[in-house]
Amino acid sequence: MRITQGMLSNQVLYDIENNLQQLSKLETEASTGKRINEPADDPIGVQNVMIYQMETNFDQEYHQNATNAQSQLNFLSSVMTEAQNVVSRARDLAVEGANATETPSDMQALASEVGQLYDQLVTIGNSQYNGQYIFNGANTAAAPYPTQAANMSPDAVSGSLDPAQRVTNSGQVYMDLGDGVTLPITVSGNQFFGNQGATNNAFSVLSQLYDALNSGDHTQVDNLLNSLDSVIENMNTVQANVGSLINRAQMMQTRMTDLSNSVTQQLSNVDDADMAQVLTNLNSISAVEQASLEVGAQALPMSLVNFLKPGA
Amino acid sequence: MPSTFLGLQTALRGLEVSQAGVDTVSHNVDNANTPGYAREVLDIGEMPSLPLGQDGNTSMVGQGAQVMQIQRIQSDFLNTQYRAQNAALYQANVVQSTLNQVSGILDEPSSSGISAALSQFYQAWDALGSNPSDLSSRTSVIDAAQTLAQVLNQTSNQLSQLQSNLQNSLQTAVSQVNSLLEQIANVSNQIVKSQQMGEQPNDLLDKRDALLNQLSQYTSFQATDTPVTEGGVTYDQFSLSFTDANGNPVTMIDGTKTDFSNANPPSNLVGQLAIASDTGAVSIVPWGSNSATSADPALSGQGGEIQGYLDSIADVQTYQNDLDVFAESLAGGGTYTLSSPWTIPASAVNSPPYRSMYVQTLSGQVRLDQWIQSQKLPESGGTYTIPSGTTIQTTLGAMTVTLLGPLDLTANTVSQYGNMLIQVPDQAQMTLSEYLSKNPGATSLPAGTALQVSGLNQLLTLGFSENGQGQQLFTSSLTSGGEPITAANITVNIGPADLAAGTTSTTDSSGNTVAVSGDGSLATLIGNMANQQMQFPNPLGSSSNETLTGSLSNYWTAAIGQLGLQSQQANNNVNVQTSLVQQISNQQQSVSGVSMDEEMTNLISYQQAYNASAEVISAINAMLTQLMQNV
Repeated sequence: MRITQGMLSNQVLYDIENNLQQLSKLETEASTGKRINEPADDPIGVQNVMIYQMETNFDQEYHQNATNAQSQLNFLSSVMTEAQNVVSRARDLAVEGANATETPSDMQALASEVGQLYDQLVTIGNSQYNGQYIFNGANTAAAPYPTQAANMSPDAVSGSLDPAQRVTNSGQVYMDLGDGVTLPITVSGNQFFGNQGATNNAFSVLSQLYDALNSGDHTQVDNLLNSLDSVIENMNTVQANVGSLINRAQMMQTRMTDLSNSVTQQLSNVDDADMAQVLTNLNSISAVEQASLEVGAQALPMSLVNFLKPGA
Repeated sequence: MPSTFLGLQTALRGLEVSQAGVDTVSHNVDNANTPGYAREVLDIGEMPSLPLGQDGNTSMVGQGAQVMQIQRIQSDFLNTQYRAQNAALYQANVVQSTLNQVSGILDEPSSSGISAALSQFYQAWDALGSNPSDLSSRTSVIDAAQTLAQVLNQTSNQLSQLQSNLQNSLQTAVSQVNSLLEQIANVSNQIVKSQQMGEQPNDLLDKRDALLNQLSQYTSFQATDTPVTEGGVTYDQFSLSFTDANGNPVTMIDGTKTDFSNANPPSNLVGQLAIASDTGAVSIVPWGSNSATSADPALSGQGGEIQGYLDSIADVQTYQNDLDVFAESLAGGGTYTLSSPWTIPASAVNSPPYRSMYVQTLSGQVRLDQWIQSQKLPESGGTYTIPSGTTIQTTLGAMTVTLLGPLDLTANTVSQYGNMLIQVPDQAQMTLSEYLSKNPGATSLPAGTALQVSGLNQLLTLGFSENGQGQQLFTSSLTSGGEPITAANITVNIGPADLAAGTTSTTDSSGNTVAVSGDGSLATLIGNMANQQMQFPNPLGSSSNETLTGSLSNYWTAAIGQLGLQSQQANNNVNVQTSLVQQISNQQQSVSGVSMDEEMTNLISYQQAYNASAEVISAINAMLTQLMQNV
């Protein structure tokens, strides 16, 4: 085959261009750390990358939700403990009041403290987390119990101002924890403080206790001890339920961390460049590139012209 | 008896031949890098001999050398091969560059593409579901929806821009082809004129080869050179033809009509290309008529930039269609009455999303493409224009959702969606009206009821917002004429207060029906829609109503996968074609290229021959001088 200078320069150009293309691709991989920088790099892989990326985003969202659910439920639980403390204190006072040796003035003092406890319980019933009422089921914007009642003595409340007559919203606010798992993060006031008109309604029991102490009726106070016990028992049951919800939120949080780790791992398997390989290839290609440049530089200017002396 | 001066004459011819040799070397060296140049070689022959004629001696004495011709070294076979492969290379280049741009525009995988925006949209809904009364959660759903709509708008606009750039490039390529045809026709006429005078127009032949190589960049063609002998003179009739869509050759330059009159246009130039005004196809028309319609034969694509641009325009349209399907499926089906004429691409009426649209006529619903056929709508510039007043129903985005909480029914819901199919747990599927007649007085549907809705927009109008019944989230841009939602015009319709997050209602202090503030069941439902199955038109199904089932993100991921495969194939094509063209080009160089070593060697031999001939002249001169002195 006849070889001409044009062929040499064509070939050198073509080879250098090829090398540069490979260099540029490897360089992109090395600098982004990613194997897939555009769909053409791996049409199947790019679909996996997109799916995994979306999954990671959702896992993070669910993880965040689980954390939020946990802190709201923790708050709910601590408020419930507070409410139980209030009722327990009322029970202590009732035990004292049931004692026939208490004088009417002692009974008045006890009644006055029960009145304070009653107001405190209404305040607890209207607790808010992030500006939302936690004891009004799904209707978090409205106070479950009349706010005025928190500043009134138990015998003054009646009708629409009577917390004992309130029907709270029976819905629940749910937190989405992924995989179709939703956790309720609010409680209906009626569930925790007792239904309206029921014997274990905390407000009605405290109100009755207040009246009994005020009127110095030891027997009635003694009778109310049973009701106080059933109020505490109900509160305990509901709080235990919240405790189990907290455990579930914790479990989901751990699960989401695990899932997120495993998806991140898969994403990394598909998408991340194998740096050792990339850098090795980069080195060998740049060596080839250098060699082809040097050879080109030496071979291209070479022809008989270089060896003919003018005028020879 | 030869002349005393015969030797001088012979040596002179030697000088002349060597001179011509040096000239040829010089010409070759000068044109070593000229495109289309084929090296020239001096064809040297002996002069006829003379008889010595002395004493019956019949020996002949030579009269030296002469230049027979200056030969142009080239191979027709390689030229044809080169042009065919070059055409394929340029086609592949255009397609590759277009797909590269599409990859850049769609911007996947990235944290700012459509996929990321969709994921953020669903996440914002999910966050709202867990915190339904929070204003900032509502606002972030609206923000995420706006971002998603804007990304779709931008992407769609960029694709349209790309398409119109490609259209311009196509126009330029067509003009280039016409200009090249004219130059080739003129050069061919000059070649014939020169050949008829017995000349050998190597420079013109080189020029024509270079022009033909240039033409191969735009389209493939067949060129024939038929030698004709007339009155003892041989010349070449050069014809050039393109192939039409039916595979028939159409003559563009007619070699039998050689023009000697320098007319403009020359009579051998018979055809040109033009873009059809209705379909936008590249057509072959007689020279001089610059307009075309689909009635003219279309240029068949066998490589070249023209075919590359046509392929690219079609490719970009499929991605535009994908985007439109995405936007429509996101918002869900609806009914739209055009308030101003609506222009749609003619090539896409049989493809999604247009294949899933129906026109409401007096005799019922007719599929859009069939309606266009029945109305005999004229095609213009590759588009159909649907007149205003037409009512179009879109059907994409329909899905079955299962309620997470009870759904309160309002008078509005019952009157608007009486035909909605529902399935209450443990009951048969029926319409909402049927359910209500079976359960008189029912004010809500229980949690777990499956609803068949036309899409996200309808689902939202079933729920409740701070302002009452929920409103549609997405709409087509309010400034245009009530068109169906596309990627280019999708916008967010409402503010945070109109966004429905729940499915239960209550009555506020002023007696209005409003959402229960803590009910986020609808938002949670939408937040989980990343995996919601819906029906998509099968992009590969031709005109039937074939569908594929998947989620919106599946659909988009598949479209990107398709782009990846196409780009990969385009990259491979370019690599293969580049190396093929490189090989053939090397073979051409091997035959026609100038070798400096060879030229220098020739230079030395011609130089030495010249010196030798000069030496002979000087010897004869000395001989003659001696003879004169002695006389």
